[in-house]
Amino acid sequence: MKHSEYQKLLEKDKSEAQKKIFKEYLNYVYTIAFNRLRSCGSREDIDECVIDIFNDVFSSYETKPDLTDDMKGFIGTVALRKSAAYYHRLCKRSNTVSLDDEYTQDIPSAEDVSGAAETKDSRQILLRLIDSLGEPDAAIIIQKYYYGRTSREIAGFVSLSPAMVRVRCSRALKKLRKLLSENDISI
Amino acid sequence: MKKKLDLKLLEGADKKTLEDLSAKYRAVDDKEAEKLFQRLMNNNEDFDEEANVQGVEIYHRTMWRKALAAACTMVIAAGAVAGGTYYFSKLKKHSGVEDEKKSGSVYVQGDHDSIYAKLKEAQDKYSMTAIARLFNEDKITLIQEDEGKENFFSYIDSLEMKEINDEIVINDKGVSELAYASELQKFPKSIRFSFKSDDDTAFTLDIYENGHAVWTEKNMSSEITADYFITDGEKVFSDIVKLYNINVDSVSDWNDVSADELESFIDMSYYASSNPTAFMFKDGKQDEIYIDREVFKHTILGLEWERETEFEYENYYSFCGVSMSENGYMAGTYNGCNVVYKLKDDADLDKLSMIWKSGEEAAGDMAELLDRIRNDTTVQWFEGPTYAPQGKFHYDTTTRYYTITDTNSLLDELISLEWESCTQSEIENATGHRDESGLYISDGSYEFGSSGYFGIVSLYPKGYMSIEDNDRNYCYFKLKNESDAEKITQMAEKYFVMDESSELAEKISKGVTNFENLKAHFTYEHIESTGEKDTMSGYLSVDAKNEKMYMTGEGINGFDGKELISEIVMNGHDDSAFKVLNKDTGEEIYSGIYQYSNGYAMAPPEYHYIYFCKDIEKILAPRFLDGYLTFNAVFESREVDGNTEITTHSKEPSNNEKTTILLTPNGQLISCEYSNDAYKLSFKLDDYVFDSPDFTMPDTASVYEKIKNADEVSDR
Repeated sequence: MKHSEYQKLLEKDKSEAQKKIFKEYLNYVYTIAFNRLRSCGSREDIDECVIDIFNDVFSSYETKPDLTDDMKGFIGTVALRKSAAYYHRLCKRSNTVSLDDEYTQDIPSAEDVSGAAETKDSRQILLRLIDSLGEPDAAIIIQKYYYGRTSREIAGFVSLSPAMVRVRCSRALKKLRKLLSENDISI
Repeated sequence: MKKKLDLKLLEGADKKTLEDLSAKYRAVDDKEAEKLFQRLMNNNEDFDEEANVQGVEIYHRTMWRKALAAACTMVIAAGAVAGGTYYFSKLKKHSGVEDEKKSGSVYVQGDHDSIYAKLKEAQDKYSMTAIARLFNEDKITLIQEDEGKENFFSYIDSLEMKEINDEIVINDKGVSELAYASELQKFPKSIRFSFKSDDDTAFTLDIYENGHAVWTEKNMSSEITADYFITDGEKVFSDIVKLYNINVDSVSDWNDVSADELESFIDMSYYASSNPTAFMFKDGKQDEIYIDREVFKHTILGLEWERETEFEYENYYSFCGVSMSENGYMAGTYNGCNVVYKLKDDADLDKLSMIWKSGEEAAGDMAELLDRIRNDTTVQWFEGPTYAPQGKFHYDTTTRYYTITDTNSLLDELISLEWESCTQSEIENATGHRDESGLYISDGSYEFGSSGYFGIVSLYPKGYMSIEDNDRNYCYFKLKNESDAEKITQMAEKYFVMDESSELAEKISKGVTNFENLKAHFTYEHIESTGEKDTMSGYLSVDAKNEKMYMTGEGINGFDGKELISEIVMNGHDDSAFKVLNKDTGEEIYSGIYQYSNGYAMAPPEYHYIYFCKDIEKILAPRFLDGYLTFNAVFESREVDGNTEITTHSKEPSNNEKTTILLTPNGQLISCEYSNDAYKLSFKLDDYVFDSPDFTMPDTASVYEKIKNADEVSDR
């Protein structure tokens, strides 16, 4: 949905407009928040962050009607920043500065650039390998080992019984470990 | 233990990766999404599942809110059932206060929202059939075309149906579980009463043999289900069979257990289980044992079984989700149902016992079990705490590596000793202990091969051995004759030669505490390949016997060029505190208290002298065998002014890592230089004095407390 379309709907039916945005971008927003807060936040923290993100988005669109038409880009940016803020709040002993913060753009990076590029490559390879397991195995692996869901919860995602989820998970895991080893990826 | 997979690598991903992730995989399910949206709309109030959302039907998960329209009178359908008695209790409704608060209505008896009430009101519209089912699959139609429909309603009216909700409660073992966990179980046998009409609406009632009943209402656009529990369900099931004169023998597999079902049950249990370990539960205690999977499967398939409904969970064995008792019962889960089987012939009990005795047979197959490590030429010695958070190395864990001079002879000698099977807890109790925090401290073992955290084979000098088989099950053994334990130590002396890197690790490890005191000036530099340079120099005091250390220095932060002051203290065994300040402003850059194994706390500067020595030790003798085998270093040593200089570099031409260490004859670190493609690090002591009679140690306790107190204030 474009911003201009959203504004028209907002004038007609605010609740419906917000519901549409929410449905369209919830997965994207939640993925961003979870990715950032996975190591330091609980499920409740992540939920709270997601709600805050959408509150910010709705309020921004109401008060700043001239925002860019690229809603996904804008929502993504809000999500990244809000998640970073939550991360700092939850990990307050950190002495690092978030590179997502708009005020840190000009600080020269102290990070190992080649290391970061290597990690990015590894992530892409990892996702590719998981994808190659096919469905529903790829979804099961992501839900179990990334999102930390139980077999019972995963069953709802993939329309299988919890027992079948465990069977498929076990087999998919064996395949994945082999693929990771062949591609020299250690996790 | 296998290392659990964790897709941590995906954390902190770039936008493109995040977009890919969100495009391919769902982060939340519909229910969670709905909850979040309601919270958002209600401004963070808790989502009420019962609330109507714009006229949308309330779906099956709201069962705990629904009132029951089924009769709560205590009427037995006269003449319908012979000798049946039922429990009578008032139907529990959700409390009126909450109903008023959340939905604005109160459910009462006869409320037509209930599925049964709807059906009963329109019963003439529906034709009824009854089907016998097994594992939720139709087997045989028992009643057709309204036969006995009138009896159905009068009979159901007479039953006490208790609504089942999905709230979580804490059971008497202190574990969270569903409030009606046992009532929600499904048993293999069920009878489905099915009601269909011309207008495409339909109702079904599934009654399982344990009394679990599921109402389903279907129409074109929705399906609603509600779970109930009928008290004395087994009797009710049996009464229905009598009521409709069901010939149970006509329902194939209701009583007989086919070979296909058994085989599928075993295979599915095994592959569905995330833990193939076997357990014995006897006299209230749980112990890990070895069960041979092939023996398990072939024994069960070779015997004849019949269906049962109850399994006694006292004194039984468990393997991959299948429980077996010595009196011939077996239980597990199959096709979503709880199954219980019993041996048809008690004369087969001896044959069944072969399953849990298969561990004893394993002792005879030791040669075969040890074949997996026959080609190994390296063994690890592991001693101390077996765990550190976040996969870090524990300060007190010792690992050393040895080359095995003749693996075949070693294994032949081991096999020639007399062994018998034992349990994992016997080994744990005999070869280690737990400290006050519950951390297990191992007295030491030789680890062969690599299987996650520990080896494929663990050999304990006290006369125990555990071996992982090809199915990742562990077999546990102990020497029949305790006096043979000394032979294991003799074999180690005969066949194991400590590697040069481990000898160096040993020297450095001992060098941390095998002197009295040290006073020195230190210099530290860390230079990135970009040219950015961190420096620190100052003074170091060490009271080795009391494990105290104090360092203070001044330097430059290469990142921003600011001048820094740092203070590091160790006030006893692995108990450190540190702070780094901006020299000009006095502003604290970072500070904290720290223990080497703590995976969560901020680490002190890398020139912490004691931890620096520990780091070198751990690099020379790393935690995991895999890591060690890829280390692949060349060592050269020479004497320099009475000290020993050791230089190491990798055998791999593409690996430019190089380390030069200078140690005193007793193993104290004087200097270290390390370089790779990304950075160069150097640490050096000069003007050092060991074991001075005039040595005085700064008050590490008060420095530690000051930093700790400041740290606690900043946390508030």
